[in-house]
Amino acid sequence: MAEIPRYARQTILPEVGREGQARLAEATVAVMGCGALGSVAATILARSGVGHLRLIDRDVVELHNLQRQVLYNEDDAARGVPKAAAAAERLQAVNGSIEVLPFVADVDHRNIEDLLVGCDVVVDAVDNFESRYLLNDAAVKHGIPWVYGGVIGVGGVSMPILPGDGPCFRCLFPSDPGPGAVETCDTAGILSTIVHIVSAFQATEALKLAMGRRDEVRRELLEIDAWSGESVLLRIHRREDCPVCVGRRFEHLEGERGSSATHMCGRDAVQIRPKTPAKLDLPDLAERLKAVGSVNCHPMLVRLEVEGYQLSIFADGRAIVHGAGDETVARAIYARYVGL
Amino acid sequence: MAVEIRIPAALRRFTGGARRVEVAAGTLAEVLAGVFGQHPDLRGRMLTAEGGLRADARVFIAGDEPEQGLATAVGDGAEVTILPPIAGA
Ligand SMILES: [Zn+2]
Repeated sequence: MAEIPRYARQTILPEVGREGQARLAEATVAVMGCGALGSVAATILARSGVGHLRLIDRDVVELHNLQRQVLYNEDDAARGVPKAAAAAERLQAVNGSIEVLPFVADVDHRNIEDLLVGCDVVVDAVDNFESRYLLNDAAVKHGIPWVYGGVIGVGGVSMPILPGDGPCFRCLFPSDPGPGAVETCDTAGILSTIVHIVSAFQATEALKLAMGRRDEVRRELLEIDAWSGESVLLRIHRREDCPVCVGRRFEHLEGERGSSATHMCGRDAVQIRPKTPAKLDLPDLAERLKAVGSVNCHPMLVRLEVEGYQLSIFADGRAIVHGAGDETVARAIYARYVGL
Repeated sequence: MAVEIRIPAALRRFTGGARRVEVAAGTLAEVLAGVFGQHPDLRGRMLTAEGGLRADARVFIAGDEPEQGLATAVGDGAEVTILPPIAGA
């Protein structure tokens, strides 16, 4: 008896068909960030037969990731393997007929174009706004569609961004909330189910785009609450004064915005400095950080001890990460606990 | 009838866990003032020191952007949704 073809249950769908499946096999999709959202999205895309996957992440696997980052196991956490490498290995074993390339990289304005140019679509699975504004700049500049996804607590949002056709991310949020202004999953917590829900919606839109079915892409922002089961579609408009999609000024890509990380000479410490100074509410930040580590709030700074690192965080958003000998590690720690 | 404001999960720590807040109809500014009257901690997350809407706090009436900002009329039975920036992954 002949074996049923691998994608049979998908090709009989009118939404996909043989033609859609063939398009998927030719498509290149990047998953930027291989944490919780990225794990789920990459799994769906690999199993669905996307021919070329680029998995991008700067972090290594840790035990506290396993609650929601479904691609990793205890052995990965014990060995501290890079997420992108572990994810690529797993997904290559799931589907040997596709190409899965890992990129263990801290995405910044110098490397993002190399990482994303040539992709048909990018799934956003990063954990901070700075990276999203950077992704938005690169995507609008090169005309690459991408799918925003964000989760916190029991809720989340997702929205496809089609450069040149409707609003961009900067139309949605014209100004960067800035360092320390938004909660992170590491300080506010995250229910694993909302990760799967949001990521599944992101992957659905990414599959449509990879199949060339742009006309069928959802255009609204979807906001979902996993706990109550409620959801709402919100219509986002393009802003006439958007510097990115209207003005085509790419400040994040030019390195004029965002933050810099500098290794402090002779010390086991890295300084993170936002290029536009922030106005942090230090007592509020201290209150949030009490959930994750030992916190001291001084008039001029908040000191946090967590994961063996000591962070000194100042009101202008500057922070010194003691115990981080490496700039990538320091940036990841900053994004995780202060947020940017 | 009144106006119902949906509070997204990310902002419920400012509303004592409340998912919905009901206030009287009026302009968007009046509706929000009604919400802040019940949940004062939310004000700083939504408004600037000068009383304008913060650029990173989006508000929608019946799923669409208010056409006249805080002066937009919110009628009886309308649903208002607040959307904060959500960064997590
Ligand atoms: Zn725009």
